[in-house]
Amino acid sequence: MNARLLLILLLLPAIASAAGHDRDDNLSESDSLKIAALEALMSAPPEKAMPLVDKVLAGNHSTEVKERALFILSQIDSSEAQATLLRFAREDSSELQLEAIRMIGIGGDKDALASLGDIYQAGNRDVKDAVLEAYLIADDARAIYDIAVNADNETDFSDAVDILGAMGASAELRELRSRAGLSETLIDAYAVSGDAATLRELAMDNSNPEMQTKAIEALGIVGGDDVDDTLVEIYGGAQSDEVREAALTGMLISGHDEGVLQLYRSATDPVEKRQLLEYLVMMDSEAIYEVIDQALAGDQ
Amino acid sequence: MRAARILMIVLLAVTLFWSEPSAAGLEETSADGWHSWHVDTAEGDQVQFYVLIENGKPEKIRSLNWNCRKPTRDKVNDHGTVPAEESYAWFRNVVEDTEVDKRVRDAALFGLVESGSDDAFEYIDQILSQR
Repeated sequence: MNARLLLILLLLPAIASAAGHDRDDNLSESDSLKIAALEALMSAPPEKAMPLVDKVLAGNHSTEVKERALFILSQIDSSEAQATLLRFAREDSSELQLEAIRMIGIGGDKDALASLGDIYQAGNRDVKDAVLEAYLIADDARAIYDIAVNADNETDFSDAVDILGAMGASAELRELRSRAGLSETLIDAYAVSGDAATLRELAMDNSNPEMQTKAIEALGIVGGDDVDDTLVEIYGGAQSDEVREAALTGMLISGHDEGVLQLYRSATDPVEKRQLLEYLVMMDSEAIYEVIDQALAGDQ
Repeated sequence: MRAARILMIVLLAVTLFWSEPSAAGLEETSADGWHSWHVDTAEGDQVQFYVLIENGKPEKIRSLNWNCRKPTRDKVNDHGTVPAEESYAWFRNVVEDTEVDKRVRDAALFGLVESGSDDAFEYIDQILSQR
């Protein structure tokens, strides 16, 4: 048994669950046995396993059994297995098509993954989602970048960008900014991917006030000591109420009540102090008791 | 002097008991404890099987290649090299024994396939062809 097979066996429950196979408890005894038999074929030489898997896919079996057959194909290291998966990904119009696409992602064969680009372009929403999922599973950020940069509608673009954010694909997301222009979708993805450097740059850029405030708020999602300091700095240097409020929202999101308390103490305008106090209340901060005690003692 | 000879014989017997393959193939795998055997595959590999029997039934099945560490430090009854067909037949009995835990029966399917006999693939085909 080689290391790859051992890894597959160890990961099988997780992979099977991710691929929607967590319905095994409801399987008939016959289907359960068939699935176990199919899984055993992963330890067989490809030339022995392929004819049996092909036979299952061509036969009259339940969707669950056929889905597991597709998974076995994804684990067989042969061009024939990849060709069969691609055939299902292209030609089938049932749930098996979507499963075959995802299995190409699990298998990670470079040529098969590249072929998913055409399938995405010709596919409906479900197919497009399955292709994005396959690229996510295969950790192929470049392929998702290509989809985003060639998107001809906002849905395709934002779906691809969301996935890039989840993958932490900062390089691709930065490249998209220069190719596709800045958008709220991109700012959200910078936040999800944890790209504080890009968000800080956008937060300091007042050429587009709407994007600037969005970026300031998004910094709060990234969080961390450096971001917290930046938000306090932005608040202190804000030239508009919108920027000031965005910085406060950022601190609210990141939970930086120390920063809000610091600003409260240094503020002299009663209206501003009241607003900062409201934020401390919203943050359910322990610091609020300190402020109350000081107010009762007549300090502030 | 006689005591020394007896001691030598006992030591030799113990050594043989702990390390030498049994010549009995898989006929004597019903005794509780760990059993092991290996199959030389058609691809030129060697697959080593370890099976734990408890109360006369398989409880654990492990298949390893030569560089994997054995799954137990307990005494193992080593049955030596076994023909692929015999190994297949042993695993098939486990697959079909409904008193054996399903998890173990599923593992037996892997052992059956890894035994590499043509009969194993015919048997898998039979399972997959069931209505």
